[in-house]
Amino acid sequence: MIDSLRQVETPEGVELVLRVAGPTARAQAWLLDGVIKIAVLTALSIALGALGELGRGAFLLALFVVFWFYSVLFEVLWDGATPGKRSMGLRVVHDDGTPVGWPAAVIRSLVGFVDLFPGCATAGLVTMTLHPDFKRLGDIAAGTVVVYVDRRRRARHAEPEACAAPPVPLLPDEQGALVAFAERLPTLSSARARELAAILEPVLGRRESSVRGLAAYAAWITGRR
Amino acid sequence: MTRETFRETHRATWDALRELLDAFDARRERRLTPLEIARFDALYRRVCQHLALARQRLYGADLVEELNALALRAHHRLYGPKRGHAASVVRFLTHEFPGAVARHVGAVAIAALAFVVPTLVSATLVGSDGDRVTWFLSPDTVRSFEEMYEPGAGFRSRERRSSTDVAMFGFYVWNNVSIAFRTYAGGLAAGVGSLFVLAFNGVYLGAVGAHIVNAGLSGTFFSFVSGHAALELTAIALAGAAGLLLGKAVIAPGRLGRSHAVRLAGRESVRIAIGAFAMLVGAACVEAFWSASESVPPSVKYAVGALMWVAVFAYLAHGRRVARNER
Repeated sequence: MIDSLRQVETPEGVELVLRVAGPTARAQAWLLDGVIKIAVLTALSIALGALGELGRGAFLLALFVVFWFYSVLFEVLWDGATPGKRSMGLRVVHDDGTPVGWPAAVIRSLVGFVDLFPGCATAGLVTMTLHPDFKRLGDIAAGTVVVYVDRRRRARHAEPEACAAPPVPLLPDEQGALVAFAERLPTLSSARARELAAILEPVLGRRESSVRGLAAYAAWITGRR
Repeated sequence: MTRETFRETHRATWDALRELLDAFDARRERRLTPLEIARFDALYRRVCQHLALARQRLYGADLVEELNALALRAHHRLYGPKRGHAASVVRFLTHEFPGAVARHVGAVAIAALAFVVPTLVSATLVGSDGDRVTWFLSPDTVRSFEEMYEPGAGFRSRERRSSTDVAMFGFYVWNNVSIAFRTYAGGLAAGVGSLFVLAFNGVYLGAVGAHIVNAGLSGTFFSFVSGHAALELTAIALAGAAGLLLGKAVIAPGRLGRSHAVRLAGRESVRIAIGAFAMLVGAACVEAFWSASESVPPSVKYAVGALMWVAVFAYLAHGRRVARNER
């Protein structure tokens, strides 16, 4: 798989595409979560230290909850993301794209203990790097996957100045190729754009296969008339 | 139909779905009428159809990604987890947990053996020759145990306040449940991790118990542990059993693919692990608030301890009925 895309067929019969998150983003999220956990526990230990024995018991309970259930509570109750994951735009979902539930979140967290072996989450990182969906052991056992949440809209592309009908009739996938080329134009350097446009010279002739000409054909195909 | 015409024709549908989703996200759903909420279904299916059309007609990545993101948002909102937590907790304790245990009696038996046999071995070894306790425990540990179970020792005196009880409760929860969860998670290593932790704890317990008896402190020790022993020992065995289920899925997935088998085993075994966690919290309650109290005579404690064993086995036997009904 070249793209880190995962396709999920829904009961509605359509395929939804999830963008799977790789080890780097997940490691950053995990580190941020670690910082938050340490900060919370430090604050609690200071606050509860004043309460003597009662405070000690309460702190150990808090330690237990934070250590094993921090991720579980956030992932189930806060839309699939701990604060660390949210900062990186990540979310935990089941393999079929549905939001994560209690059993899966608990398994992820408990098996996450194994991911920490042999030291500094090596097992988890190695598994993530080798798995096609970047799953760590906890994800494999729970049937979950960590994906990006696409919140931002793509910036609108520049409107082409002209629009002209293609000189030869084109098949649907050829039209699709022209449209895709026009959409990618803002991200291509002008030299590269000319290089790609030159591919069509044998078909369309030299004048018609300029970059601007192809963009005009694409605009016509998409319906700007 | 060209892309722009397609967009113009269906823009209203997409915007309507987006509005509904924004309302749900901002928790404004109470301000929507039931009719508006009922439209969500139809709008979502319509958008899915548009997404499939846009893909097939090659309308370009922009439009396809926009519709994909919209459909994903709606899918996420529609297929969210069911609410109603309190009832499911009760159902878990009465049906899911005992049923899961009853379905995997074999794993429970193996885990129990992996715990009991090392206990008996080390107990026999230390019982026959008291000096052998140094094979298993450091001298400092031995001394601290002797101090703990001296009759009339400080930690069991009347001066022990309720705040110390809470501190001990917190400690037992943190310590014991963490061991249980580690036992469970270790099962992923082909079950070896679970077996190792079970055997290790068994050996430790047997050595401590035998040494206590050798030192003549058995009265205090057994009256202390009798209350919570049933819950705690059973829970450790159950956590080990859950780990063994994970291990079995890794080494012998049967007719399923390995990751599929692990996923199924994970769902089953996590029920047992969480049930064990609940039992250990109960054991921690008993251990912290009841077992150490001086005001209860030892005979009462032994009686309660025996009752606890009966209760635990009756509870798990109830699971057999649940499992049979569900078959």
